Amino acid sequence: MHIPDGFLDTKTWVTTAAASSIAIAYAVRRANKELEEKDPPLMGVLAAFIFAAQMLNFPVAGGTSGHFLGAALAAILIGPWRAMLVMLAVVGVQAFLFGDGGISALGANVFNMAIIAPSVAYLVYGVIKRFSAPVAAFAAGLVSTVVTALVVAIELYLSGTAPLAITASLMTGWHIVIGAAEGLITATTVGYLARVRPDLIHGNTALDVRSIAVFSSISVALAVFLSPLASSFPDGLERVAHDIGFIDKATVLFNALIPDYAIPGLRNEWLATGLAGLLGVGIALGVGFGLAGIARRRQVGGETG
Amino acid sequence: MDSQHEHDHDDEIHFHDHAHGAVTHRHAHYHQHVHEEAADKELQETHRHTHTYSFELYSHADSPIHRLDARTKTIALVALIMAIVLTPAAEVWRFGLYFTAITLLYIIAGVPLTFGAKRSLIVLPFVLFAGVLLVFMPDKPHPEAYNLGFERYAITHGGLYTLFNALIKSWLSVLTTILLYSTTPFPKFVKGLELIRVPQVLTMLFSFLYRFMSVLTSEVKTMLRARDARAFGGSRIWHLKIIGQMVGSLFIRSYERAERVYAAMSARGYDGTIKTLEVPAFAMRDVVFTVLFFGTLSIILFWRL
Repeated sequence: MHIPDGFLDTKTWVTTAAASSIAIAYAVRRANKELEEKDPPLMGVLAAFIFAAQMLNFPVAGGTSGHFLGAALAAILIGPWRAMLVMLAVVGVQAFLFGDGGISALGANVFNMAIIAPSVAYLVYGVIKRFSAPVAAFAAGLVSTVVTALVVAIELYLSGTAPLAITASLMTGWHIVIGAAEGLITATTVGYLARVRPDLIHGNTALDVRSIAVFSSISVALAVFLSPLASSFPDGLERVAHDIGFIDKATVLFNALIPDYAIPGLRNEWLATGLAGLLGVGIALGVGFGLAGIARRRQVGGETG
Repeated sequence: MDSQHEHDHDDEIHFHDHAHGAVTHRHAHYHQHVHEEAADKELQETHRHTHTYSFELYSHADSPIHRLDARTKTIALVALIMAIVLTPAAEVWRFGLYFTAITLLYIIAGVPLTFGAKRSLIVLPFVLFAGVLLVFMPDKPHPEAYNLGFERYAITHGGLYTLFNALIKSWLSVLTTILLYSTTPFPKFVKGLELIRVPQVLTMLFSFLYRFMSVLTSEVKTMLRARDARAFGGSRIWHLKIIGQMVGSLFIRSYERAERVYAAMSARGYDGTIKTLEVPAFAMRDVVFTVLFFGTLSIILFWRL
């Protein structure tokens, strides 16, 4: 899910970077309020914990494997604000030290994995927890993974890199499988900790679902409203190139090999995209809650924890 | 260790060129007291310092690039990535120039390009993913496409163009990122971030993540080995539960380690800030490098064919 450089167009990476910066600045303020002196070392070690836990891979289907992502677990264990910063550190180190995810795409990757994923996870956990904590943890893992994948698909589509319908269905379908595993691991982990060290689970305290709901809506709204604004500016350098005329020569050269391309309706279908995105999120949420319902019914008959 | 001078100041932190493994390099370290009759091998064991990761093979080496201030390098290489990402894909020759410039930097830094090429394979999965998607890229203006039997979707010129664009940009950007971490030890990079006013919570997080990444990763490896030795067979769900419990116990171990680390740090006077021995400062070489670098970059960017 780490988008490399070059896969997003200027408007998309600028928009997501702006939205991420604002959201992270707010998360830093919120986290700072809760932070005690011992917290930076603690959060750093927990970031290393998420990083190490991502090494745990599991077989998925047809010989492929997926690995644990950890955003949902972090949100449940240490609360949403600190989880965002921990995920930001993980994503940042992966970009700068491992080349995993691009530098220009860092804003988008942070947006997907450090803002959307923990927010969605925390919301889902907060809503379902009153019925059943393990089911809530499962749903948090599943839904956050699927929604994140869907957001990646939307970003690729908006950049003109991939068509929406197929990317979204491929990404969603695949990540329902990955997400189910993520959910199961998250639920087992939370269940295990609930027996062994219940004091370490932040999610056991009063959950502030409302402020995360507001926060994530504002973050998404920022991205959605900034995007058309950014796209009404022409792609910066490409415009300069056009103005001083050198692009034509180069384009002629390139067109001899591969004709110029156009994505039909990329700008006009803004509304359609938004609707499709919402629909996708709705479907993902529906599946999440549906599965959670089934799991819960089983839970009632079976053992607890 | 091939040491070129006498260690007459044991227990004092100092610098000199030395090599353990392949590359001669220089970084702050100290030697514990060694008796006269001690063999070279023992000397090696008493050489204390930190570079733990395979990707850091070159980060402590010495070259004009290594000697630059971390801020200079970070800003320059991020600017280079931005320029690469903003360059219109039609102008293939510009990418040739970028590649030449990057190669030149690798040569000056004494980092083999093959090292960068090997590590840059990390972008491959995402490129393959995009490759799958471009099969479905609708491209109405140019209906002559390689149809694969689907009615609406086929490999199109537009799709190939998009793939080329993403492939070349992501590859050049990853090569640049690798150059950054191969010439800048991570602690210096973080110190640079701190000096350009990245919030301290985040720089602390980065530092601790970096420090404990390998500790917890090796813990995970131990757990994986233990699991593989004991847990074979069984259903997929059962395996996921095992991973969940591993994550849970890894979390407790990480948390308790963080508490011990914090206690140890407080005992040694930790007050919420990290102090470093070397205070980075800009030198004349940073000015020269910046002028040359941005001069070259703007020529590559704006030169008309």
